[in-house]
Amino acid sequence: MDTMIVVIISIAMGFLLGLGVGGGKLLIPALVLLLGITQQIAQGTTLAVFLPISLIAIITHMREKNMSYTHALYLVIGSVVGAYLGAKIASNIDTDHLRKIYGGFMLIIGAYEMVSKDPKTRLHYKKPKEA
Amino acid sequence: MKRGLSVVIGFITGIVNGLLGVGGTILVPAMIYFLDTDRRHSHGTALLIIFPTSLVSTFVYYQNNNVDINLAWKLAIGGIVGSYIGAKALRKLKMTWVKRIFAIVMIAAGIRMVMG
Repeated sequence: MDTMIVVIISIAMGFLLGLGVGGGKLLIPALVLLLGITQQIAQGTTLAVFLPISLIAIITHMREKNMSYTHALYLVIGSVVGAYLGAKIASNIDTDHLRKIYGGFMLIIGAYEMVSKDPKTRLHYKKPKEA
Repeated sequence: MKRGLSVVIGFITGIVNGLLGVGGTILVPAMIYFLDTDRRHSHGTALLIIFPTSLVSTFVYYQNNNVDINLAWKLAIGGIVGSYIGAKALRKLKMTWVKRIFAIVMIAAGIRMVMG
């Protein structure tokens, strides 16, 4: 494995995360295209990387009371079931097919980001002087 | 509160998370537009949902030998360094342009993934 590529990819991903632009979405193709690992391993490893990162983010948001727990409950019931099924499907399909599905997803997200006035961006813009 | 719709949106979020290994891309806009969650709460709540969801997905990937722990460690360390720099740079960059560049890179990489 090329350590230099891993260092560059990881810092670039983190940089995007810090900006509030999805870092994970680009991490997966970077791993596949630059390191040549399978689509499944790229996805599984990315999921694992984000576990500790999202835990830290959750704690920060909890402190600032940015949570709606009743909303979360019903969403989690659906999402946990979906995650299990989705991950099972991903594990059982051909890696080339999965890569193409991912590519299609990227095209949709890319097009969406291109035209949308993303709420995330506006949220960040408002932050500095409001508090 | 729309309980049924919440479960459905959660389910779709979970499928995307498990199938594609990405976080909650569609969750924040879905919460804002369909569930009337206020913006301030949406990001924190989304993270709260994505954590157990990703935990389940990661477990299934791990069972199928699709998690490279050694690589994950290196990425996490670099990611922490990068996110610190990114957070500092946030106020100095014009986010509209960051978004546009991000979109172009997504589309270019997407084309390569589909064609390759």
